Amino acid sequence: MAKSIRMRARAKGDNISVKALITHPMETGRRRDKETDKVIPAHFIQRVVSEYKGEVVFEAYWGTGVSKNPFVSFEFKGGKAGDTVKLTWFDNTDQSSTAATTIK
Amino acid sequence: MNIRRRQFLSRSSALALVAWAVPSTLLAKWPQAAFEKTQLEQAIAAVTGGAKPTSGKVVVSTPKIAENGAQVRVDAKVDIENVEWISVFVEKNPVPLVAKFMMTKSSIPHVSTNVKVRETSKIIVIAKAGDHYYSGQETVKVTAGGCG
Repeated sequence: MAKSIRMRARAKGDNISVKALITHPMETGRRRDKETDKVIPAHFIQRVVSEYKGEVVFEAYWGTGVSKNPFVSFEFKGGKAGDTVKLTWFDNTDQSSTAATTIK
Repeated sequence: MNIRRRQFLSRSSALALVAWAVPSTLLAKWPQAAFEKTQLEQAIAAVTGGAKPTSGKVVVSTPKIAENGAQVRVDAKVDIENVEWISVFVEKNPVPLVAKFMMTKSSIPHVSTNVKVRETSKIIVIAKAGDHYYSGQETVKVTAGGCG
């Protein structure tokens, strides 16, 4: 999915705070389509990972209880303004998407 | 069809959907067993190995009342060193385990995300540090349910 992640990262000293808004249906697999009465298949992000200078600084495993178009925020230490931080999500249908931002 | 049989069929088909939907590359890491539990106590036991968490050290911030149960912000901050992971549970959701945040050596144990809350529930956050489990919780009152 193109442009499915909007993110920003801010440095406070060497503590970096990252906030991201991800576009994703996060379907639970328990909803029915009102018109066809068929169950809408589960389609949800299972793993989110963030990398800084080649190292993983954050990793999350999600289930269907995370909201549609989920917001996520996390913090790590040892970063600095001007560097890049990356975020990637992987879902249960083998789709994934990555974005990167410069730490401000 | 009697109600028990109907419930059994709908629960097992929901589980089958989740199990079928997980690609094999992720299977080893994604905590499937914990994400399959449909009761809060079982979900908690699945991540703690049965150990009971001590209350404290985990600060959970949520709105007291959510008009929209589909988007409830949960913020969790853990006041201990060397947190290994932080798990978030919504007591009355069909799948109580919502997220497991893994901490790395660079992580600061403060995370936040939006979760679905189907009906008024406790939001329980459990953190593992060393061999100990700590927990914190808040209750969210929902005025309109979470799954659409």
